[in-house]
Amino acid sequence: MMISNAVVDFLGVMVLILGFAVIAENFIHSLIRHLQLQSLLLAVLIGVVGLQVKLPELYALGILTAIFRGWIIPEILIKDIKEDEVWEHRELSTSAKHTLVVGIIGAFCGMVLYSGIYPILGTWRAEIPFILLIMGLLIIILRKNAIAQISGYIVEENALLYMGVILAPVSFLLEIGILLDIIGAVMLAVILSAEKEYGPLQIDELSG
Amino acid sequence: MNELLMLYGLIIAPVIASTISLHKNWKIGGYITITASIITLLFSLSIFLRAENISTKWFYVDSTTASMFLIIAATYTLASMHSIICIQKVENFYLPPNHYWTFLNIFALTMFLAVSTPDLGYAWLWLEASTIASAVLILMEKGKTHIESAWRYIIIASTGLGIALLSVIIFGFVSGNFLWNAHIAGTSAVLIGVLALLGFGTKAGLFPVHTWLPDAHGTAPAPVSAMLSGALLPSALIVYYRVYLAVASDKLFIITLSMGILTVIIAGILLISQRKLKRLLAYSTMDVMGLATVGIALTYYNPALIYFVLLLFGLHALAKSALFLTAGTLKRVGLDEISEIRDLVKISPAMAFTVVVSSLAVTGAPPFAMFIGEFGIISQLTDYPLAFAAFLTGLVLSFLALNYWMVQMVFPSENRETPKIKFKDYAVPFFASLSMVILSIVAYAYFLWGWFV
Repeated sequence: MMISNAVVDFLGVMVLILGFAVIAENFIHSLIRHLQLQSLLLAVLIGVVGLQVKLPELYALGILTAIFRGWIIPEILIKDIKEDEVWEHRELSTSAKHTLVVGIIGAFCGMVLYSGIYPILGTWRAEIPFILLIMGLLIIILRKNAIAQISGYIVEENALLYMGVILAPVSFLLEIGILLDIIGAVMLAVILSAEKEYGPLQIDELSG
Repeated sequence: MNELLMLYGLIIAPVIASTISLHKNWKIGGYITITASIITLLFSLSIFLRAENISTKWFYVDSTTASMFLIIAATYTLASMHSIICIQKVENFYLPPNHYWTFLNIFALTMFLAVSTPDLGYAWLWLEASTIASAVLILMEKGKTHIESAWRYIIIASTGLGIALLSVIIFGFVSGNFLWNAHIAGTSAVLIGVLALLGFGTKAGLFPVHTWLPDAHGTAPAPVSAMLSGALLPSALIVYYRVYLAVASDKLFIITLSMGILTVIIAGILLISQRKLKRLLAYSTMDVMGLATVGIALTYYNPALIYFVLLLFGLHALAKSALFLTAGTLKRVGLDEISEIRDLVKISPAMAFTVVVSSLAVTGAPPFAMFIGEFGIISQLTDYPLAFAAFLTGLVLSFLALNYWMVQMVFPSENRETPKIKFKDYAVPFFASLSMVILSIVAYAYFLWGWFV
């Protein structure tokens, strides 16, 4: 149990580092690859927790995460951006240094906030997904391009699944995983069809 | 027929209708959807009148759930009936028209399931599924604004529901299961409550996480706007109410109350400056959700107040459906901006009646039954003078703003040409407003009977 806990925490740290890579990345192509790697590591993490608690649903969830978020979504996005010349250049209106600094400040705030939550949960193991969740939210707010926003949503999804697996590994996590993937697919469909008709989808602000 | 069979009937009807609606001929989907919605309305009415609790592993139906069934089914019926007229007027479909019916049925189904599950995890799951169904419905018509609105809606609502999921996970961690009849106290209860309020509040359009609301309501087809406003937002608030019951505390009461009052005030201010009719109605919905949130907060001290909240939801569903469907009809003849809509009395007295009656009802003017709901909630707030004053200010603002714009639209101000609109194009909202008048009479009779006897 001790060794598998250490493996889970190690994978968690790697997932978090990749969260920083996603928030700092300016090139869409690399951003998608970071996201792909993060999802694959999360899939392994879910599988290891599944072995620990002996829940077959978690194996299925791990496999699903690897297939859908680790393979299908990133590959479709990569195929899409190769077809569109605009992505040969940097993502518009984003400064890497700026977003990385905001990400670090966000992560620090997450640590401080989690120290307030710790007495309730009684475990530090949910701190990593909590920080990752804040980073996902930051990516959604900071980025203006729809593809970059979807990356924030996927980071948030990863954080929630990670937290669910660590805190409350119950059977409906599989259903949640499937639903979150369907939402990811709908988002992807919206982006791709919008780009075909109207070019890259730039959302200036997430307000009405 | 026993209650459980009726409940299964209520769930299965939209499932069958959504499957049949996949047929290429969209008219088949349309008629089967109307049939399914009427069946769900009859079943939900029967479940409501029998007033017996149902408790299984997958369903929990009490008076709150039964009332929500009725509200969702009524909105679903009105929306599907009006859709058959509305869909014929769409010029550019983004998705095949038969998909409209499929997703309309799925949308209704997810709401029925969200309010009837005893498990918070599944309630979250069905609410999130409703986001997908409704986002697809917003995308039915071609146009960049539709895509942008759908995108904003998916990204904001899903992000908000992500926070709600966090509250559900912590709920499960602390209580050991996800059943909402658990009771949690202490700091963890406040944390769960605040996260749930933010998360489910996003879906319910509460300030400051309401920003998807005006765009989505403004660009969705009118029947979908009616379902979003009349059924989906109340469903999200009822799921929050279930969490609130399990984790309520003095602190959470203050937080929920403050968020409700702030929502009412902000909605009142935003209502004043609106130019487009459907956005105006969206902010009016935000106002009613703020009012209901205040009611939910007060159930901590007086649990019976939930009946006033449900009465509010019921009348709001009918009135707002009537207004959104009328707004959709006007939009189809090119009248989108409030300043362009004048002389509704001249266009059609029946349409003017619908607009006046519905806007008065939705702002809680007597003699409509929403007044009873509003009065019931306000009268419980008198122990908190500051909150009472702020709340009342917000309500007065929204009352004046909405009714001012409606009066501008209804009565003649200058000589201008009015478009010709056939009665069948606004028959559904007209009958909805009539049924609202009847429901108000029934509600008054019920309360007066209780008062005298």
